[in-house]
Amino acid sequence: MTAAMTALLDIDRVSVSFGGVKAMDEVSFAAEEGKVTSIIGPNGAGKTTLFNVISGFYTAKSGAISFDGTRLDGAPAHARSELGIARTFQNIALFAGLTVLENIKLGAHAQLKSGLFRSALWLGPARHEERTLTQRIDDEIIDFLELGAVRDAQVAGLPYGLQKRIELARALAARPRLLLLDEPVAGMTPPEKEKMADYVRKTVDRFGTTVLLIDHDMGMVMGLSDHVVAVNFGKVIAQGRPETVRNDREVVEAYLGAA
Amino acid sequence: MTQSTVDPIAPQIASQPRRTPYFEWTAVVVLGLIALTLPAYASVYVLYMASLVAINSIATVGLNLTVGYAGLLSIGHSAFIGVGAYAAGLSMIHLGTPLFLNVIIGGVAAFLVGLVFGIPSLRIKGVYLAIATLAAQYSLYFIFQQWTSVTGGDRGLSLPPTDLFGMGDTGFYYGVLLIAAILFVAASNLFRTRLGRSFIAVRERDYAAQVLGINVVRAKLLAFGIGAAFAGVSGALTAHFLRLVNPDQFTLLVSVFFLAAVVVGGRASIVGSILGAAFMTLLPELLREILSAMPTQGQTNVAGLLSPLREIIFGLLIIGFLMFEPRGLKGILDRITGRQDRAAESEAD
Repeated sequence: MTAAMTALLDIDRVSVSFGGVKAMDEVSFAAEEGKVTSIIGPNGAGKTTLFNVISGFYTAKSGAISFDGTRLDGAPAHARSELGIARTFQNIALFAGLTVLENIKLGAHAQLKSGLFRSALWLGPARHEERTLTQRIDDEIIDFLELGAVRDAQVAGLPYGLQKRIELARALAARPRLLLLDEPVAGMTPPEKEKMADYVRKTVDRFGTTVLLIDHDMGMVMGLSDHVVAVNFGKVIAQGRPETVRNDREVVEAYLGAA
Repeated sequence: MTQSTVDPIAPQIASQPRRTPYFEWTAVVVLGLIALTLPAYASVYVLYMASLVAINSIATVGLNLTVGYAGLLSIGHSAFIGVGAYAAGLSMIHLGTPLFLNVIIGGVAAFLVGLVFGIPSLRIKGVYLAIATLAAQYSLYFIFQQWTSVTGGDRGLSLPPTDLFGMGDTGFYYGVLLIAAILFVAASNLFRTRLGRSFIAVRERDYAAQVLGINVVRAKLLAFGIGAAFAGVSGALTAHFLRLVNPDQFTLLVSVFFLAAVVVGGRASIVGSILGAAFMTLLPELLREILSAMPTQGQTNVAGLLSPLREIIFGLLIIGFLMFEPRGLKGILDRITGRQDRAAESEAD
């Protein structure tokens, strides 16, 4: 019903259950191309479950997920990067033993072609591919996300807020059409939050990326979003323009706190 | 490349030095020079030990690809060495193939067998995977020993001598050195590209690796297969070197030996693997020197002491390094040379 022609991601009556627990119950919404869609709801409402279904970690019991008009369900998790879907994690999932640049390069894994022999021999194509990628990351991402000072540092030991930004950088390295951000500002200081919100806004403006965002920070969610979906106990309880959802009585009771 | 806008976080961090492996390059050049000039001044014994160190280094680098880089614990490595040795030996006997071809045959055979025994790694991890690799160890040993018509059973295969470049032992030594050098460079190159990075990603967080488009199944099998291929090459060289292939060269103790070499040398390090292999290969020799230098009390049999002592020392070394220096000899060297204490935190994972 919400699926308009411009919907890049269409979630149609998706249900997921673990044992007897319904983590998602007939959830439907659409993420419009080039827009920011946010999912809000209390802890345990099924927000991250939704991301994990889109990522292919869980399979939906029923319903359909379509990306750019084709069904996503059933494709293996690792196939999504090539389709143009990238994500960040609630608990940072960077590779601590690698440098910032190496982490970001991993984001482009699916775009690279070098196989075993080319890699091992480090001949023209493999070398060229690495250099081109490094150049592209320097041009497109390092400056954009202001990571120049830590580009070659080990990720382990870098401050939390910075690691969140590196995760965003890694996701952007794939040049995704759809970017799933799972609590990108959780645990950050107010100035850091503002900066992150700014990066997300700029990402949409600059690359035309479609963003699906989960966060508890209402200021950020309301400020950034074009469309807000409120969930509780696995069900969509309201969706629409940020100001509409903010004033919805059920949403206020369930989540924002009835004062 | 430097940014103009003020960053609230980045300036707090002292810009860490790039991870360019200056030390590794220096070590490679120095060791390379020593290795190349060795036959000019070294005794036959030293040349023999050097060949053995090079052969063992190849297998250790292979195991490190599987265990250190990709994080797949394997204690069946010596069985893959055995596959390479038998494949090369049989080819040599029946087809009369030369060393360089045998090395490829050994590597490919072990790669394929490694892929098969890598399948459990798709479902299980850590200690459980290690136990599954024991199956490789014992089933392959069983085949080596029992398939008498092909492998010669307990007596094994006796092989004709190898004469490379018409230089006898020296020629063989250079042949081994050349192959080892090629493989070390290939292994290092791997970690400059997507494939090597994907191994590390799978080791550290396989779910995140999937999101990045890494086919975890493929990466794990490949890590097992490549590790086994290195073992196979090492096995083929062992066959040429000792001119004998029999099941007792490929026991569990030998697998533990290589695991110890990886841990002692330093996980996820090519240079560390070489150091570890050298250390573990030369240790028993050192031990024998020490034992024979000790005053003999009555009828104490030095040779009889050596074998059990060896096993105890392997075990102690693994435990000791894991507890006190998880980064192995490579970590100690890094500290001595004053390189950034990198990856200290990453080990805590």
